Amino acid sequence: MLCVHTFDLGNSAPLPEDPFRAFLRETSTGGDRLLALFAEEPSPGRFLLHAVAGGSAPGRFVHACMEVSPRSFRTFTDVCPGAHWFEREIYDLFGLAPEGHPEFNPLRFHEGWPKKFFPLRSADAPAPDPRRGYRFLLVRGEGIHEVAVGPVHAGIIEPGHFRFSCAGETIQNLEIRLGYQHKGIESLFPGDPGMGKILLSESISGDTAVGHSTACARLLEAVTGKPADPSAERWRAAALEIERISNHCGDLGGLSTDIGYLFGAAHFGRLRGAALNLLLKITGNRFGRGLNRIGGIGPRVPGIAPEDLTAELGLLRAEVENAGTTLLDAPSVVARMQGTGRLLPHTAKTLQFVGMVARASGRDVDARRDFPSPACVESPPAKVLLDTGDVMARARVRVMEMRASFDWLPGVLAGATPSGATASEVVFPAAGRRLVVSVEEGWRGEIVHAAVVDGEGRITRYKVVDPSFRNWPGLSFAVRKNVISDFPVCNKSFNLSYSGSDL
Amino acid sequence: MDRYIKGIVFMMAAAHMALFVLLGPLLVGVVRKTKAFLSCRQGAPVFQPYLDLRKLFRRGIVRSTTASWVFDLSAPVVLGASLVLAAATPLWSRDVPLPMHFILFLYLMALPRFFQTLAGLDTGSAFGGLGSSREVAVSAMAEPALILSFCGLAYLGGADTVSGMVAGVPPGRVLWRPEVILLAGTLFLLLLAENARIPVDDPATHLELTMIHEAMVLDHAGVDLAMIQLASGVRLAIFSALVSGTVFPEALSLPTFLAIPAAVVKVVLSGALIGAAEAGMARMKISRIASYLLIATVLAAIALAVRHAG
Repeated sequence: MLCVHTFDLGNSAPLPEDPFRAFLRETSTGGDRLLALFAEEPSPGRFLLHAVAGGSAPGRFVHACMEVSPRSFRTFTDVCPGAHWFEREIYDLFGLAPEGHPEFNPLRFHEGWPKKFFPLRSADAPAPDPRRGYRFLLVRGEGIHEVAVGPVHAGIIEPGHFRFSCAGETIQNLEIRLGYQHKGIESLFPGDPGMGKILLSESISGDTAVGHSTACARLLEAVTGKPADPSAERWRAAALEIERISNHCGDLGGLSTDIGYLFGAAHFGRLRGAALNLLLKITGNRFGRGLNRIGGIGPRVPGIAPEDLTAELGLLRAEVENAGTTLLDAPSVVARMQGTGRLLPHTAKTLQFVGMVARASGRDVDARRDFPSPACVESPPAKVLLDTGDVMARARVRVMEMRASFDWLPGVLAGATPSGATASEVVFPAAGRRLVVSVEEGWRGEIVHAAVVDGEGRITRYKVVDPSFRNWPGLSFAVRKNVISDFPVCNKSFNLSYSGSDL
Repeated sequence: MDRYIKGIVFMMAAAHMALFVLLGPLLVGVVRKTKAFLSCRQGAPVFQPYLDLRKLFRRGIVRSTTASWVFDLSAPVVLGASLVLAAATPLWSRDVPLPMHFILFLYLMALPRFFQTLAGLDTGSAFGGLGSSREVAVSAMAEPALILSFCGLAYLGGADTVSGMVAGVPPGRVLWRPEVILLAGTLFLLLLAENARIPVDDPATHLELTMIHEAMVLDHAGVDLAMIQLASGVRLAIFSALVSGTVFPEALSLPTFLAIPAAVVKVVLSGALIGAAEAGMARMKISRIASYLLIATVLAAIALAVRHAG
């Protein structure tokens, strides 16, 4: 399978620091991109850093690991800027400080937390140094004022704190402080690879239940040796595209609301509901929960025949096309979105952003092509790529991606059987300590799940990378030198998950 | 005898202002209903703004600890000034209780804004400060257009009081008179800008960072907020009366029993027009408001030139 890969950890010794640094440098210059960087404590007091990269050819995964001291390691952000949030996360979870990190602040933990508590560091490890406090970047100068927004917002949305340093209306710097949603998801995964883990993965980020649970299910299938049959994979791929359509519709409606464009707000809000209702028909849940099982799809999935679903998608498509054209052609909408919140291709490439945000800024990454799932191997949905990087580009990418999904869905559904039987083929898992990585292109971007599995087939460390985690820093870059009244529309054009990032 | 006449004059003035107070929330309700209708929604009842006001008038006031007497004074001043302006605005008749020179009228319009921006700064909230600074910027840019269009109206109507100049606009087919169309268009653009409507501001948004007018009043609550909302309704009705009066000056010369229903119809129609304008476009970037108001200024100048040449 090209979207899941198993590395044998038993035979590969950890690298020294310099080759590991070279490996990470490669990811920011070469064809392979960084997928995940995370720490692990295989035995009390012994810490390993794992880096997973890939993507230069379909299904290509590479891995490197390095042993670090229980206190700190030299930062890799200087050679691989895309690693900067990963390193802050490693500090928060394990207490391993990245020395020389350019923005070394806690990512998830707040003043109320115990100073010496690092949730994934074992009690037997040497006592850590007390946690350092959070320091906002102080912008000084004539007429600079600060605006603080959140963590409690005016709408019913997730919590996050935004600190703007402005000169008049112009944003000089935006500092994003998250972590209010931290719920210790990664610490709940270790143990036997059972069905409960799929339920857990559905709640990593509520709007990406299909994406996360599919990535998790494939990973657990690789661990337990029970692959899903081709028809089940087709239903997974179809549900994933419908999830993408529903969220893109919701975002276009949200963008319209933020710019006061009533037509778009009303119609895309309704179309999001229509797409969610299709997920309801397939899985029995509007957000696609209950779709996945280990080795296939749920017993009552699909609740609709493939040809009926194709017909309903045709109806939805006509309405989405109509609303999308009207929205993107309205002069007042174009005037509002064009040139607003520009994320430069250079920034997107350097910081290794992923998903549709990256594709709106000229970075051609798509896990459906680079790590194709069985349903995408022959022909993934058509490539969508723009390079202006503004709010308009992110809106257009959404419309174009929906079009590509609508084009692609009938073909996939044509090969799906009405009821998804689970596969009978059992592949006995390889013995020994191993690392299993699973990648899927959720609607926001690539979702990476990685698990370290011991000789008995039990998960000892589970790592989730939501695309939001990769793209949050991009928002700060996009709003710089924009006016502060444009922040909400920039934020909505990224529409990142707090829950998926805070884990 | 004199006392009776004074009494009648007082009653008439009270009735005139009361009609504005009654029609203001209705106008807001009609705008909202039109927007809901145009986006295929049911929307709240037309009379919802009255219910909101009743709710707010019953509530207590929560006040920022940094707020001073300026904050306490702002809401009554805003409502009071709007009522005085209403007394000078012709709604159903050319005779108003308080004929007012148009320059005084314009500066009385600036008075509530002055107090409201101070109150926005007074609470010490970052949003209040942002809103106040934007409000002052927008109103400063709107001032040339406002003064030019009132000059144009005074020229056209041959009077220098607000009621006199609107009632004095020569009746006849509006479509044949470019200066009337231009002036009414300018006044409508100014109506949208001065009353925090789309495309300049978004009265329905919940996003504090984008608000102009709403950001200033975020820290007002209860009775204060009710007074400010009532004043916004009255202000919108005043502008609607000016625009519709310019387009249909005949309606001001009708007998009273016809004139008052005509006034209500005018208000409802302008509410529908405002709602349709708001539903048809997105809000613009804050940096573009200047060019929007420049267009209004140019239109007013052209109207003056056409009137002078004609």
